[in-house]
Amino acid sequence: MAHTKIENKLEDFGEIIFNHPKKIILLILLILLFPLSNLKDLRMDTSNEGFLHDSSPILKDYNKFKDQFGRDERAIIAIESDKIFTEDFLQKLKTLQEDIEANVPYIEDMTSLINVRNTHGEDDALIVDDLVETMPTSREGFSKIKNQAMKSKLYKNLLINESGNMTTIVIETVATLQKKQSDEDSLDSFDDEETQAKDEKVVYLSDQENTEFVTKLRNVVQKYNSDDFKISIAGSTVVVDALKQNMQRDMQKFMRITFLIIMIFLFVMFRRVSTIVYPLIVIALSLLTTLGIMSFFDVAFKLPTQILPSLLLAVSVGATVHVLSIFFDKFNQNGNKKEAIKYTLGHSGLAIIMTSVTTAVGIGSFAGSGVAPISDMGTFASLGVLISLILTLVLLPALLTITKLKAKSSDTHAYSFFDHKMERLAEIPIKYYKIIITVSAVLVLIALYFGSKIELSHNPLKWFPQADKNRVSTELLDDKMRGTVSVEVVIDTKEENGWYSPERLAKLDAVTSKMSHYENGDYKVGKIISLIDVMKETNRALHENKEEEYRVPTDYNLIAQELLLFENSGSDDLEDLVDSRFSKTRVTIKLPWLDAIKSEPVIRHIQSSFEKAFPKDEITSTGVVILLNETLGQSVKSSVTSYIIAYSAIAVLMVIILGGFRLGLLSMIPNLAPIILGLLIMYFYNIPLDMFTLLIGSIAIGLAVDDTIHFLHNYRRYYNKTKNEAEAIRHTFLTTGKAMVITTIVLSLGFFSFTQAYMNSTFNFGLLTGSVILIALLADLLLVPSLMMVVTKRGWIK
Amino acid sequence: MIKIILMVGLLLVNLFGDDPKARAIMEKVDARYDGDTTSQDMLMIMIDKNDNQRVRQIMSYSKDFGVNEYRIMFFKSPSDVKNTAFLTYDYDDSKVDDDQWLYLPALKKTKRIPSSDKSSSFMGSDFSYSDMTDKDLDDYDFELLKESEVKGDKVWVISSTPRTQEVIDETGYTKGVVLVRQDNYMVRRAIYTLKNDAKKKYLDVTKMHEQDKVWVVDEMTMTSKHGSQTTHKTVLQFKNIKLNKELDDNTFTTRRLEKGL
Repeated sequence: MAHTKIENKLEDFGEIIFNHPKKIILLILLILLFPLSNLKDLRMDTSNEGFLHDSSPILKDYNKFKDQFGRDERAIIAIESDKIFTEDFLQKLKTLQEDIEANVPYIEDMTSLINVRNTHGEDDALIVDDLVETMPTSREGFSKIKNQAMKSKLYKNLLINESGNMTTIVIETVATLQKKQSDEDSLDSFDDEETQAKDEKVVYLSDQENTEFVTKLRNVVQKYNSDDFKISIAGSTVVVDALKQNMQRDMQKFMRITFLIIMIFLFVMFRRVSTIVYPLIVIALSLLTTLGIMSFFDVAFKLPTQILPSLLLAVSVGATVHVLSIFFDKFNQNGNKKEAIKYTLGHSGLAIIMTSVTTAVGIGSFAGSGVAPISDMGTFASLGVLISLILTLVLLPALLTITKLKAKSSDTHAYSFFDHKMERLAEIPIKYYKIIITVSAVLVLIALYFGSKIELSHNPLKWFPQADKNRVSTELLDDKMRGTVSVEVVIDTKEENGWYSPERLAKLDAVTSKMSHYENGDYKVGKIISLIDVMKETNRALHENKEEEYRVPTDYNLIAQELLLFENSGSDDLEDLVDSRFSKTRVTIKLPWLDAIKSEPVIRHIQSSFEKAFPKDEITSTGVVILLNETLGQSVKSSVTSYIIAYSAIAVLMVIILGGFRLGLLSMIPNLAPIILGLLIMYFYNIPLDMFTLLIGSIAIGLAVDDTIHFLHNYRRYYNKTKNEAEAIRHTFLTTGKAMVITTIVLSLGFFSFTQAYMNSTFNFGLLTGSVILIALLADLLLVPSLMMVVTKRGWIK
Repeated sequence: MIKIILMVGLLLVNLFGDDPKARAIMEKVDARYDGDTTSQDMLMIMIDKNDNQRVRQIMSYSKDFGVNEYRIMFFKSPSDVKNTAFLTYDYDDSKVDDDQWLYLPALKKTKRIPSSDKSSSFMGSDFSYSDMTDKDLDDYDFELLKESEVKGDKVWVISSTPRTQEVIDETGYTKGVVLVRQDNYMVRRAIYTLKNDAKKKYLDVTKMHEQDKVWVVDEMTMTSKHGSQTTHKTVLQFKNIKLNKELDDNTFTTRRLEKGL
């Protein structure tokens, strides 16, 4: 009843469109002008910070850390050579370092064997200088440097590996971006200092600057690469940039492929120019409007959001095809355009609205995700689906109205083969419905069993192909230098000179030396850098380089005096380790770049070790490792919520759409089954459950139910006409069944286009979603009619 | 024709090179008489960006030995560094590294700290060693930018550009702008640009007075900024300033350093 009312309204609306097509087109273009005008400002952001919402406490801790101690993410240039301690090599290293310093922006600090701090005692002097203060002129000079470097506990696995054939240049970029002030402004700022707002917004080094840094760094470095100076670049700053470059390239590729698939498909189906151009206009406008709105709200494009354009393209094409196919069916019968438009909106408007709403709900269920880009994708992709819905129902008919069209007699020949196949296919569920239901149930159980064995994962490095140079470099450094990323622990004593305390330092020494032997599976703590290193080396240098004096003093005043001495001795390294009141200290724990799922126990171990050792002090663990771990936690947590929202909301929609509680719930079975079977594919292809694959559950259900709605909608209509299940199934197969097959194939091709991606993550996402949607089509063609064979007899169809 | 080339040449020298007028001013600043000996109490207040303060009290003596200046400083507080003492021989010739000794009472040892790097912090403050010592004018090109006023006092605004990379490496500054008071040739303010050119240091000599016909500084602040954000600052206050008091040459020895105040 309610349905027919809406259908009548939609027919009336079709008439309005037919009467005022130009006004409507103009109005739509005017409305879209604003979001479109924002397009040019769309930003990209692939930073590790970008995965978390600005309000995340983990991100806040991280930013607080950056404010105090600078950025923990590094670029590491690793150089392999057997002749590190020779004049040729060190001279080249020095030149390279100077070249970088002169030509690469945003560098805060750069350390290599050339300029690393070398604290030592000589006769009555205490010297803190660079390891290669001046280039030696003799062999002895170089072997002396080698001796010092290989002996140093500070340099080991930081600047030189244990076997002495790899050395690094470690580059720290600036954490915050500050505008250069002109001399004029600087002169003026003397007097207005007091009035200056302290809470001026801090601008962190963004993705753009990071890219500029990495690009220029690569340009400089590549000139120096040679056989006995083999360079690899790693570190999370570099990895993050590579993610972005590849993402941009991949995204453009998907768009081209998806557009091409849609164009070919539209041409084959309708063989009219207008039917290729108009849907493309609708689809392109929906996409661009959505991106424009994203840009207006200053939401950046991030890694997971990259699937949004192709997703929108694939999803919107279904609705336009339904409109076009019904319109031309009717129009070709009698050439009456007005009738055709009214009929199209009246007949399929409601179904299109319903299927778009279920799709929007499925994707929109991610809007509340704790992972920022996932929540962005949920919000904007579902908004995009709705924009495309409106454009399909309003703009597309208006465009058809103003176009001169000739009615063609429908091409029966092309369809006869397809019809024949569909006829034969319809007989399968009619005959073997019991077997189909049993086999489906068994398959689902098997899939559930294997699905439970799939591992969770968040590891952007593994998103790169195995041979990718970024991945290779990082793995090389993780292997040879024992790590490329870090957990940063800040111990805040909340008291001035808290870190002069010999008890605290002794505890810190004990905790860190114990922790440096920590191993947990693949995780080995690579190196720990703390205030202890400075204390020990200063103390040793003050005691004529005696090795037994490589320890932390036990006298409070001596500690204070040694630190004062260190402050005065020409090194500014202290500000990286303590705040100026000596109340907080930073401990850097270097770790290999591993999957976030594996970092959980390590992080817990670190945090609890420090909490146990310093029960009265405030312990904050942060750093890239923590960010990645939090991202994983949030993506798992939010996908569980998202699934619950999506499945229950769609179940409710199905109950409403199908007009029956039992039937609505039953219709969820053939839609959940394909998603569960997707787990089987994941298990056998060794695809982890990560940020991308976790998306599939909600996206696929929103898409898969569309076919179920179409099928059941028509099945009920034909059953009420014929009162015969088998006849109703055959009719449905020949009408809606065909459209279902075609649109679903296009949709899955849209997702399969992601398999052309360079990045593994996107490849996996495309392969799985495409497969799940195809399985869902099979379920709609086999399992749904089989179930109907069973339940119709029991009077479920009214 | 030759005339024109010469004139253009002269103009270029003035644009990019040294400006004799500015140099003359800086020479007067450099040559200004500041007493043969100075003894004073120094209060060092270090303030971080959260307005936390650390205070150090230091007794300082200095004496001119010809063109060189020797200085000895004793920490009076805080108690943990009490009696820690510094001795510095600042040589006029910029090619000769200054000599420095530090006495650690907790260890009862004196250590020499040789350092060619003057850009490092002076006792953890925002002042660097190069800020605390005289500069060699031959290392810089000067240019008179304009005349201006600071709180009613007329000043010359002079830019200084290091002539060599060594000077930049040694001081850590790529550029300086100095405001010199026209009435007494005292530096009133200065801005130094660091290698990372978004970072600058601002010197403000906020209090000075004339005593025995010599101008002396009572208070000055060095503020380190990143862009427009203050990251840290240090206030130095001088009290009980005594000029030309008899100071034994033996005051400036490591023996004296170990003896304490």
